[in-house]
Amino acid sequence: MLVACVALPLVGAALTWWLRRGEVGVGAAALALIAAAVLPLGRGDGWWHEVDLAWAPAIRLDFALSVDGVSWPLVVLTALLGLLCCVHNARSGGSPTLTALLLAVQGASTAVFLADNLVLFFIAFEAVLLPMWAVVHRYGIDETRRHAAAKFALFTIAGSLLMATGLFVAAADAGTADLGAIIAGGGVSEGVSLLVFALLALGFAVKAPLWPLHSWLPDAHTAAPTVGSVLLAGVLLKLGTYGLIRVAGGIAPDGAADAAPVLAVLAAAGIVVASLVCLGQGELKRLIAYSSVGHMGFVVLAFATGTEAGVRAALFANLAHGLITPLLFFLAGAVKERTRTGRLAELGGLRVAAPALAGLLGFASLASLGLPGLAGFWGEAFTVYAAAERGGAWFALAAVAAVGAFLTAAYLLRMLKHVSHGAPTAAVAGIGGLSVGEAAVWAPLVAATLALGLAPGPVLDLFATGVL
Amino acid sequence: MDFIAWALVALPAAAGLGGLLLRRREHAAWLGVGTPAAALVCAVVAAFGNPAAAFTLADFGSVRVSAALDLSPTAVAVAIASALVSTLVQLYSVAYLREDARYVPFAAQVNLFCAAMLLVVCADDLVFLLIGWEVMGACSYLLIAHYAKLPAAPGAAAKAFLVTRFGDVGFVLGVMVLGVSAGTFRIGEIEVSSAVAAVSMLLILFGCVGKSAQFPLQVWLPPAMAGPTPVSALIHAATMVAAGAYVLTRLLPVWPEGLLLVVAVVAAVGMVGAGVCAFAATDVKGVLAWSTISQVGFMFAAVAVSAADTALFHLLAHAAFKALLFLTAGVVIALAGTDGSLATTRLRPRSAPLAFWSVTIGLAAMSGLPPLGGFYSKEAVLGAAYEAGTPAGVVVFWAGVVASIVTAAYSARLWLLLFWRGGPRARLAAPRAEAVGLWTLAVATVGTGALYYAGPLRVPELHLDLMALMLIATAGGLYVVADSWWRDRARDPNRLLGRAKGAFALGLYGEALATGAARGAARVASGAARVLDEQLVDRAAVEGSARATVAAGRGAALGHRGGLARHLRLSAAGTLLVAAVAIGVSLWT
Amino acid sequence: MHAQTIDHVALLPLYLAAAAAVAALFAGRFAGAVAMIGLAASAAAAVWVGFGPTRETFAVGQWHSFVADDAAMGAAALFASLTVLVAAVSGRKTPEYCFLLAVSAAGGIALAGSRDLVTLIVALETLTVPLYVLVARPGREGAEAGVTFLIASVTASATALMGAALLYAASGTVHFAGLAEGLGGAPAGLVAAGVALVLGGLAFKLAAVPLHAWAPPVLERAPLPVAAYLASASKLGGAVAVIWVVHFALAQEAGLAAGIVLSVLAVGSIAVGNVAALVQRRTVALLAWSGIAHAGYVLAPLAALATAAGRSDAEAASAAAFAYAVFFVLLEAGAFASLTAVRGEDGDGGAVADLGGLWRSAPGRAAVLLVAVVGLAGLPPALAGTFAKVAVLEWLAGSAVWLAVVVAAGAVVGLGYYLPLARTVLLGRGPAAAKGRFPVAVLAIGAVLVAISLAPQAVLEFTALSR
Repeated sequence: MLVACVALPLVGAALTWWLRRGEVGVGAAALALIAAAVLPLGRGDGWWHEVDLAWAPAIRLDFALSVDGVSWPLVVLTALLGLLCCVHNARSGGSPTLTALLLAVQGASTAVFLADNLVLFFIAFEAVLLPMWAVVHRYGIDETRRHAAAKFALFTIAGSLLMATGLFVAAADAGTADLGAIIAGGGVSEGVSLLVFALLALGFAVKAPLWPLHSWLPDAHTAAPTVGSVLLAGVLLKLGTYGLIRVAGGIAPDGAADAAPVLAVLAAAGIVVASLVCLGQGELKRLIAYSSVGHMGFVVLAFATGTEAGVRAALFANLAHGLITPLLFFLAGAVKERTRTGRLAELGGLRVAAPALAGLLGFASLASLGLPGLAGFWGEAFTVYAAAERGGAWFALAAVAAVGAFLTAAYLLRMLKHVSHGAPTAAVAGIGGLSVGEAAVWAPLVAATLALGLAPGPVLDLFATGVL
Repeated sequence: MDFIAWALVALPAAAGLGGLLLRRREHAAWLGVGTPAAALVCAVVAAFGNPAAAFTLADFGSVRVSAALDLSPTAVAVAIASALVSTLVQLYSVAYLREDARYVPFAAQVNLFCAAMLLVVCADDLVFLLIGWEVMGACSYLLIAHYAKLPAAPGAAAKAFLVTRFGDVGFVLGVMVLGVSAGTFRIGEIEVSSAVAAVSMLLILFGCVGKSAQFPLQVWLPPAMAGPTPVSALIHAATMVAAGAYVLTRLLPVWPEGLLLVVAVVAAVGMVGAGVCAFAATDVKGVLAWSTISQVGFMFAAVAVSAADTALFHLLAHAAFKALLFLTAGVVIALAGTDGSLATTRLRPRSAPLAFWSVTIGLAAMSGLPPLGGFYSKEAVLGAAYEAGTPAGVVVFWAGVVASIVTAAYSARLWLLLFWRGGPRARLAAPRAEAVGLWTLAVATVGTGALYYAGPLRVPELHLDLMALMLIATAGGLYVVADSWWRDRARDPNRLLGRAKGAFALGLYGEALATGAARGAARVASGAARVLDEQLVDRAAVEGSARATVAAGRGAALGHRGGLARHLRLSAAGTLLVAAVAIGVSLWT
Repeated sequence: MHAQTIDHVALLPLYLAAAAAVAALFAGRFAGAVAMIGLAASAAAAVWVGFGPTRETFAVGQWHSFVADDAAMGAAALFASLTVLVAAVSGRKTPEYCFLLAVSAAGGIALAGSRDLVTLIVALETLTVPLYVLVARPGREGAEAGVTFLIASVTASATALMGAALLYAASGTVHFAGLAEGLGGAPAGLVAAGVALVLGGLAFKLAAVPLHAWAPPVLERAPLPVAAYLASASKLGGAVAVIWVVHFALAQEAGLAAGIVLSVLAVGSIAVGNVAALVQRRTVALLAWSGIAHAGYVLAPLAALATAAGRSDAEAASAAAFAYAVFFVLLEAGAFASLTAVRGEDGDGGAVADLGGLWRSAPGRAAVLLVAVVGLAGLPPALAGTFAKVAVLEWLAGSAVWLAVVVAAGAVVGLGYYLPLARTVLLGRGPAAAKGRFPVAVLAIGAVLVAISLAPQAVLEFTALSR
């Protein structure tokens, strides 16, 4: 089943490209989602299931996959977003090659989440780069897409090679490249722990993204097609935070504790700077992109506090962001497609012209600003809790996080004021309303946001059982 | 019985969420009126059993959040009031918004709001309460922005949400500090050191000040009148603004003694300052808005002297008469056919008797005329202040006396300006649905007085001397206005304020200052952030390094041009250099 | 006089290669086929010998001049196979051409088994001398390229010989095993000088800084099949030479000196190669400069010998370097073979922009070119390159982290020029009217690349050098 989660999207990608039929991709994605959903059945303690096949022992590479309470929600999220993107692409008449590339990204990302061997983790991490680059470069919608794609590729490879160095130092120190074994053994020895964590954190900070290594994100999101932005926000960013929490935090816990203040300060700075930039932002997708930087700042801050509540809050905020921001990007894509512009100055009065669409946009915005009752609240509020729990100087960071939440509300409300309220502008007047297909694609995200907000308990308990 | 407690909150919540998906107006109307009514029934039933229920909602390891409800007698009383006002407002809206195309989402949002308020009232866990607290704010935002054609509405809605969110920064921090120190969020189980209590209570006070529109965060309430009148009645009179005071009463056991003076000062400024602004205001809903701030200040004042039940008593009384006043204001404005400004709105008592008597009863209750509820509640506040004997008590007492005078003054002004300047002679009637609301609330206003004797609240004894003082104060305020009126009927009594009248009408420019400051700060901060991010990080560091690398490439390519001789020179020099380095290092080590 | 016993089985691949060369000279029209068959037989023999026990021959006392162990025979098989590939993409050529190619291959096979400095340098010369002729295309530019290559090569050989002489002076022997023991007692400066000159001269073949300047102009002007050979088999020769010298002779006693020299070479190559490749507009020039960078990646694991941690496990250093060299050389062969198939064996590389639209007009060849380019960049799904980088980074992470960071930085810059190349091939619009030759050869090298991507253990096993 684990192998199926990884293989189905990749096989689907190849078949879709070869047969030139988007529906094949949709079918493969659906099967992958089912495979991911049944993973909790028959699970053991610790790792739920494991697969371990030797591949190249000389470089410590084994094809080792495993899943537990921390990675399973992300695997399901990846499969779900992949399916939604393939359906969206097929419905809107996009190219089958784009579907194939999306499935390739999905397959590689799933391999990252499931990898139990450090070298396999690195290879899967790198494998995401080329398909995503192709999505932005070839199917992007802006003149800046080439530049944005190149920036994305260069940033990513720099980060992943630094991360690889850290992984290999750890493997050399621990004598094995088995992730679970190293975590169970308490991590690498103290002398190298800080070096390993620094290298890994640098690599993951590029992906997460952590300010100031985030410059690739706004350009990439603005230039990418809707499905590209959805996968970027919902999956790729999760690779960074998952790596930070599980891999970096797991194999170098001493280094993590030492470097935590630096991470926390940068995360808090990212929250504030990103929110302030959003306050003056004039383009819809760029605004949502910067909001991702802010949200991921919450995740990293919560992780950096090092408390149990902090880690759970970080994982929960991670998951919530993976549901809410893709929904925002879908909506922004729908608006841009209908009005042919993303500039806030040219939009207005959406709730008169397309009430259902505006209503969903309002729902997604409220979720993004952390309204309780919706998924975003628990992560943000308990980041504040975790920082307060550390006490001392960390309380200042808690206050910064709370102010950041306020600033998030400010810029999202400004966005709604420009887009949704007021009189319909020329671009908005007469646009079509929500179609059934679109509603069907977005409904799972809406439902999941609501469910996670009202009943966070089961997911939090899953995180508690994770191997960390 | 537990089921009743959950149904109380869950029914309106489900109806609210489900109602967003409806299409037909009739369905929305049935759901909109029926659900708060069902919640009302649940609340009444709960009064007999006082159920409490809890289960773990989220476990974060070192602390857990419980979905805990505790329907104590006081909570039930407030719940009944909230549910009743919600039902009446929904009923009223069926008629008031009969020509509005977006009635369906309106009704659903009101239901959602009702669920959130009931959650705040009944919750026994601070984070669970926070959920209702913030959802109330969100619904308030959605409802104020309801009128699509009104240009001021979205800005007012955003201002309301943002100011309360700003206050909530403190609220969330305070809740989290309490949770960290006490290890739990259950209100009954919180025990912390006095230093922690001081910090957290001040932070939570900031949040309550924001929600209840007290000084210094009062700037959002007057503009919020841009929403539909039923919304103002429900949210900005009876429920949400009172929620701040309610939460303070719930947390009263945690307050350190000396710090209540801060609450007293906040309350005093609100009571007196907002009263004067109400006296100066130039439109009907504006007067009512400022008076709300003032009356909520009374509730805060009661909290400042540790008289929790007194505060709740005033809350209930206020809910009744303020909702009555707002709903009647909607009727009056509709009947008079104006935009609500006091210069133009006028009716004759004979033309609209229901409206006239409703306003009269409501204003009388507000001014504190016996035997209406407002009299008893104000007397109870002053009594508690007198009995407390703390510095806070002194502040509250004298501010309360002055506020009584001012309350009487602006009530009288409003009454005179609305009904005693002539107006259309024809007999005007309000629609049936609206009339029902008015009747019910009028009865309730009269009836709240009885709560003093029969209800579940523990209120201080009546003091004859205080009663006399109050009546004198009220009479004084009435006299001042009556005197000004008698001298010159044509002019507005607020000329008593002299040249400061305009400033007070605008809330001493508080709103403009706040908006200006906020916009300016936002622009500066945002500009600085953009410079930092786009210029420094992106352009200089990232793209600069890329450009430098390419430049190095060109340099290298240039350096290698030239024929064989050049290559050989390069090679020889390089090899010699390498050899020299190698020899040097190995000789040295 | 006591004659040396010669183990002819060990020399079987060499005999077959030499026989192939001579046969090709007399085979007339079938020269190409004869050469290919002979060299293929030589490769098969090398594999067969490799699976058997280690054979040592040409003994001088304890030491042997020719050893046929797994690594040597693997390298020998690789030399032969690469030459077969180059012969396949050369089209119809004269018997002299095939003869020279086969001689060069024989030199490579001899190089793989050599275990003393003189044999090594002679074998290296045998590998290089035929190329002097092959590189020169008719015309002025071709002559210029030929002369450049000749003089540069001669200079490099002289340097290497000088270094070898110094090392002989220091230790009294040229055999690797003897050097391994004898250098310990020699004066440090002498040893360092000898090491620097030997490694510097040998690095010429690998096109590493500072003897790298010949590579771009020569590769640019040589005929494409010869450029392919220079980029693959010739580079492999240089790599094998350096690795053998370091691993068998220098690592024990002169490790520090070797490490320092190689550090300078490696860092210089990575820096100069990557940075200069960024601004290249012609395909072969780009590949040549990037080849210089890859030479740096090959030398980097050996450079870790400069640190104590590196010296403690010198075998792993050589294994990593050799593994990278093998993967790299196969990827380069793939790139050049497909380029030759597209541009024709008489053409030149052309500009990068000329490759636009290749995906549409010649998907098979474009696919192999893409796999090769992506592999050179080190990205999946061309896992061959990824495994190469992993092998190098794994070793460096455990011994000299700063070098790992340098390699990582170089790879990042590398992506900066490989990505536009891949993009032009895949997505460009253009005139690329492909000649469409040599489908079998391109398919074969493509299959090999896919095979080593899926099963890298096959390469990693024989590259694990042992003493």
